[in-house]
Order: sequence, then C-alpha cells, then structure tokens
Amino acid sequence: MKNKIRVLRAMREITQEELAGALGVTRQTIIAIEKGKYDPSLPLALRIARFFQLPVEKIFLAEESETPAS
Amino acid sequence: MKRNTFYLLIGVIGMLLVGVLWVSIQLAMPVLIQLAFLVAVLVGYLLRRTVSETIEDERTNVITQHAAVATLSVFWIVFFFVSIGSVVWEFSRPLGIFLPRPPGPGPEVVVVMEGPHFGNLGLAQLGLLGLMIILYGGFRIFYARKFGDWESDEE
Repeated sequence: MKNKIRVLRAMREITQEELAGALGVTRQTIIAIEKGKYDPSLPLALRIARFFQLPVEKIFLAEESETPAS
Repeated sequence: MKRNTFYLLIGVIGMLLVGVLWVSIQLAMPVLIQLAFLVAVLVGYLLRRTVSETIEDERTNVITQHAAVATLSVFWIVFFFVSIGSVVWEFSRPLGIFLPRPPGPGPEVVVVMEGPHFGNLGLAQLGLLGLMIILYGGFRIFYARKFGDWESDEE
C-alpha cells in the first residue's frame, strides 16, 4: 500500500521521531510505513489520519493488485 | 531509562546468571541457579517497565507473532522427532512390569531398575530450548527484515 506520509510530514515540517512520539510507535515503524514495508493496522491508520486531519483514503492508496476486481 | 541501557543491563544479568550457574554446579545446588533465574526474569521485567522510549508497538508485535508461529511450526517437528526416538529407546528395554507366571521352576529373572536420569533429561531439554531460541532468533531477524526493521533513512 502506498501512502503520502512522507510528503505530509515534509509539508508540516515534522520529523519521523516527532510523528512516532505523537502516535505512540517507534521511529522505525514510521520509516517502515513510509517505505511501504509495513501496512499499519486500521486503528493506527486512523490515528495517522487524525494527526494530519485528513481522511484515511487521502493518505493511504491501495495499489492495483490490492483492489478487488469489479 | 534509555533503551540501550536496558539492553546493556540485560546482558550483564545474563553474564551474572552464567556465573551463578557455574557456582551452582560447583556446590551441587540446583536451587541456586533456579532461584537466580527467577529473580533475573523478575528484575528484567521490572527494568523493562522503566524504559522511557517506545520499544514495542504493533509492528514489533507483528514481527513477534510471525516469528513465534514459524518457530513453533518447525520446533514441533524436531520435538516430535526427538520424543518418538526416546519413546522407542525406552520401550525397547524391560519396563519393570511383571506378569504373574505359574509356580514352578523357571528361569530366574533379575531386573535391575535404573533410576531416572534427570541430568540427561535436563541436558536434552536445554538443547531443545537452545534450538528453539536459535530458531526464534533466526525467524525474528527474517521477519524484522521483511517488515522494515533495518531500513535506513536520511533523517
């Protein structure tokens, strides 16, 4: 799953350490999410969305292979 | 307390335990290392609670879960392999069960009952436990890598 956390962070000038502290996770988890190595759970995704004051779907984008066939 | 200090203290406790094990063997007092082990686990748990940084979150929990399941998947096969061999070894010698036989002359059966070898059992268990730890460590490294534990960043 792709996401725009890195861009949103840069726009708000927030470090990974600060974001991790605000979300109660390790900095390594933020790095892993930004690099697409780890997909956050729904509660964490919602916390991230709340932190950036954006809807979840504006931050996380499912890739083609992840969307169900219509 | 900082995370690295915690890991350092855990290492020191581990080394102390090895020392206590040696003393325990010299004095032939198993209770010494057993108590020391319990105290070490308790101290480790209390020290962990004093770490101010976040050292565990949902990603580390996912890594732990995956590593634990993979370890168990392999370990039960090894455990069964060793156990079934031991059972065959045990049952292929006299068990000390005597069926009643008719009175009269017959061969005199002398069965020497051997005492249980707790020491050998303990060594086998320690070996298996060591294997479990190695398997867990390996799988943990694998899944930590998979879920981005060693991803570097420019920040």
